Amino acid sequence: MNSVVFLVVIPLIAAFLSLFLETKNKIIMYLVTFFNLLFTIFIFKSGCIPFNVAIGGWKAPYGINFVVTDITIYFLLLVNTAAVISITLVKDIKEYQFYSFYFVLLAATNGMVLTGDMFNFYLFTELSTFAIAGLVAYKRDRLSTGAALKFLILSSTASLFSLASIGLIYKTLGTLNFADIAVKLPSLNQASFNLILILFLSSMLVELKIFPFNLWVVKSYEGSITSVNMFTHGMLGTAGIYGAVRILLIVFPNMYKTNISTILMILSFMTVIIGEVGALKEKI
Amino acid sequence: MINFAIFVAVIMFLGAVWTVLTKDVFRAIVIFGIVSLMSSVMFLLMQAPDVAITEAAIGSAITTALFIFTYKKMEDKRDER
Amino acid sequence: MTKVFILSSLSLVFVGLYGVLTRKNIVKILIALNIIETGINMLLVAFGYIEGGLTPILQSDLSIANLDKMVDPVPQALVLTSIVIGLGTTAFALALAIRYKNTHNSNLITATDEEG
Repeated sequence: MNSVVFLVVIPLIAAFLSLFLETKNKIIMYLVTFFNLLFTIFIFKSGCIPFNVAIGGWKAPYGINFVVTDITIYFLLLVNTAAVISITLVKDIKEYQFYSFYFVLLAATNGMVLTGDMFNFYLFTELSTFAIAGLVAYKRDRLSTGAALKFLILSSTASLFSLASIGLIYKTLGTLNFADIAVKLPSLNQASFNLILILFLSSMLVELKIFPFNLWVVKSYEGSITSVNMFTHGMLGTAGIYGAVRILLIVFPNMYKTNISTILMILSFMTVIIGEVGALKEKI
Repeated sequence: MINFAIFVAVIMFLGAVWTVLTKDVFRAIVIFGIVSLMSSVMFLLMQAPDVAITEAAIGSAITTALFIFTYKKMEDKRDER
Repeated sequence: MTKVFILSSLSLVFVGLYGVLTRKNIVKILIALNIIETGINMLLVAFGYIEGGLTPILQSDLSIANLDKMVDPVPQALVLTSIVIGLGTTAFALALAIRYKNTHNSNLITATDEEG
């Protein structure tokens, strides 16, 4: 199943092709999105799960690999189904910039779900940040430009924290592969474990829209068109949840009485309560 | 060698503080270019020549040029409206 | 040597964080973001440094014998990618900043944005 790479490569090729196809962009968008969904269903039905693909033939601890397990395939289906549902709302858009950013977002969210390497996950997160900021700024008025600029500054700062935590992981464990990190984790002392976890959690909370970092959501939902809201919530939100589930709960399990599940649960409850209070305060 | 490293590090730190604290935006852009060039020297001292070349070309030259173009464009718009 | 490298990069990170949190001009915020990024890149390369290390380039047959004295090349490869990604972020954010200046007629960014 080496061809699982097509889920990332074909949207990227379409992103560059969309600069030259002015009126046919909408057809290309439907074609690529339905191809992604059908290919995911084909992998789901083919029955060779789990497998992993070493890119370029470099084996797992040294090279980059894509991992498909039985939880990955469900999230892949969710992301591509959300893409198919949300492109039905795209109407009367003729500029190629919108389609180009959409294809980059599709490639980045598929890659975030598929990848098995820490640095590769950081790259795909950064790529999805560009795409979301460009899509939010698409309306070109006062509110959307301010919202996109604020989201870009907040998210770039957060991804720099995640880069620092990746450097700490490489310094202490000597590897960046998810499976290899999980094997070597018991040799880590408590101080480094807590530092890595704080840095990485605070960068993931921006993507997940959890309470202390979710104030960009209101402005960006208010300033963007409806289909972009679907992209932000359906595709980026799902891929971020999968990243949190895999990295925070499976790769870094509960060690040294640092219970990550309890922390995430408390923060989610606070998000629900503060979101409701903020919604009551809004004027219609 | 370690004295040279400390010298470069002190220049870099003072330049960063000056960049953040100064009121003039154009001066901040130019001093940021100096900070980036000093970090390229630090990369060379860390035995990473390829990163040093990339940082000197991209981080110091192209980024500073982009900032200066943006500054000029933002200042020209002052008289409208 | 390693202490000098790590301390200087951490000082850049904290100075840049202060700049991002306190400045109001957009260009100043983006410059501070670039300072943080330079600091993080230096931190990653400093993690791979060993005392008295050699450049990780195989020049002749003799340099095979010095493999354990060379610095770690993997963080350098990561930092090369990270520098280029940072250039992309900066260019995109500057393009948005020009449009922000055109629509808001101001280059200050504030938390309570007046709608209008």
